[in-house]
Amino acid sequence: MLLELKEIEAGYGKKSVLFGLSMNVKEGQMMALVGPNGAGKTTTLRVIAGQIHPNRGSVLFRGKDISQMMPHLVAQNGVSLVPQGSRVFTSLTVYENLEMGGFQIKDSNEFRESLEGIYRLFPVLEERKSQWAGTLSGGEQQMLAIGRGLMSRPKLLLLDEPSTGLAPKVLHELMKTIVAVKEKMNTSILIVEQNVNEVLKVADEAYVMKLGRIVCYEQCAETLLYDDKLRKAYLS
Amino acid sequence: MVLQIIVNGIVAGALYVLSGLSFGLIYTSTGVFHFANVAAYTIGGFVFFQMSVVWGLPFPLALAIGLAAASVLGILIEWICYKPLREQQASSLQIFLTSIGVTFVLQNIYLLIWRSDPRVVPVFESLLDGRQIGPVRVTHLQFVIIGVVAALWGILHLFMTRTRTGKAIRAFAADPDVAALMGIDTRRLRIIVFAIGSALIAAVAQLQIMDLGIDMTSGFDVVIIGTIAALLGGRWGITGIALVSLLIGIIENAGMIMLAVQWKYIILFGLVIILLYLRPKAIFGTKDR
Ligand SMILES: Nc1ncnc2c1ncn2[C@@H]1O[C@H](COP(=O)(O)OP(=O)(O)OP(=O)(O)O)[C@@H](O)[C@H]1O
Ligand SMILES: [Mg+2]
Repeated sequence: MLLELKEIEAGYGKKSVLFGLSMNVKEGQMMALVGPNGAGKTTTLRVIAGQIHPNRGSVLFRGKDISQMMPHLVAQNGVSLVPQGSRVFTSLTVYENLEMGGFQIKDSNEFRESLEGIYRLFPVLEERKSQWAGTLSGGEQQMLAIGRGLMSRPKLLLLDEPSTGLAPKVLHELMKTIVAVKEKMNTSILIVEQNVNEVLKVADEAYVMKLGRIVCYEQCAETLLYDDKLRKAYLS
Repeated sequence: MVLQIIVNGIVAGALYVLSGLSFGLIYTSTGVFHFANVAAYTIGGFVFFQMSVVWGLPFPLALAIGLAAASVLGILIEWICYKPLREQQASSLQIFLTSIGVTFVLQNIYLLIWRSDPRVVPVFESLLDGRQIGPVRVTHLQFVIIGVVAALWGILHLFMTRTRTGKAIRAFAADPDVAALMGIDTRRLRIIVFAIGSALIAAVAQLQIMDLGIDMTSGFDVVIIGTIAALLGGRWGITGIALVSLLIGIIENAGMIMLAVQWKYIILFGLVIILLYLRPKAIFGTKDR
């Protein structure tokens, strides 16, 4: 197992958000995590990335408990979070953003290879490399954020609503790209997405969460689309 | 006469540029309103004096020890004062007030050690010689000051735009949480920022102690004016800070603001507060935290 969350209880200060959440992600897998607003999806990803330390439970990444680790060390262990709302470094250029994504890479050849890989995935980033990231369109910023998150060649990529602000057609392309990342870069993916239709079609497996708990696990993500378990989670 | 005032103003202003860069670097990246830079200024100047004049160490060594003392002090203030507060989610105002408190504690310790008389580190005779350019007289030391300021400015600029660490500091300034997600150790960056910022302000003290001399209160003027320059001009980057600093230097030298000493600080502090109120996010065009 690549990632195992066991009985996680976490929150913000006194406010509890996750109540004994458990989930697994296997090597080479694209896992979808869906659920209504406020369910705690972002919080779950932040726990994995070390931005929030759980009050109880453990986060095992390749067998090692990373639940109390500082975020930069979690990143150095091979987990990369692309946060909700992209959050590129607006006062840095596109190229510099990618450089920061590859901050951990010490070898310059390795860095160049990584960079070329990203430019192949998102050619627009190469065209705009000297531009301030803040001047990119919303969709381009999203691509930059994903490219930046991939620069370090993570073992596990955490994507928090990558579709935000994208036109439906662009979104479809992006999902295809994400699948390509999984297959070509040997990166496992945990993706949170509001656009349930798109994501369940391409994900391998899926979790549905609600009010800080997993309410459903499905080994074939797509079947959820034809199931009323999903609708129930979103309703009421 | 007018030209002479402008030239003297530029020299004074050049030193405020460094002070503004020091404040701007620390404030933009760490979000700390680091008033205690005053204490780094004083220790930088007085340790230099102690090493050079009292203990007779070679000039470059004395300079280096002064800079190092300031850097270490800056790092200690970050570690002992700001870090614990930050970890308890203290507000920026609490951190600012702590910074002021630390300043007065340290300045009083310095007073016990060095007392309040002004100090000058004498330089080679030839540096005090001047050159007459038309109606204006510029001492060699003034040339040196302008040169050092320009060089430090250039080095800082190259550091921030060309090196990995410099870019990481800019990324950290733009979004500290996301910078950590890149695998950047942000605690290390803070320490680097405080070390560089403190050395910059100490360099101002060292240049001034060779030129006009400094005393225990000099740091307050320099830091507050640098802060004002950074807050006013920071929106236009380093160039903006430089222009405002030079302007303040010239105005001051022209004696256009003749203020009784007791009013000076009230007015300067008032200006800082008004500026912070008007544009807390203005420095370097990046986000405030
Ligand atoms: N920084 C915070 N401080 C306090 N409470 C927070 C914070 N961030 C989120 N919460 C609360 O935690 C709960 C879960 O939020 P979270 O962002 O994890 O939900 P989400 O599933 O990602 O929702 P969305 O689909 O809207 O992004 C919500 O009730 C939210 O109000
Ligand atoms: Mg969310």
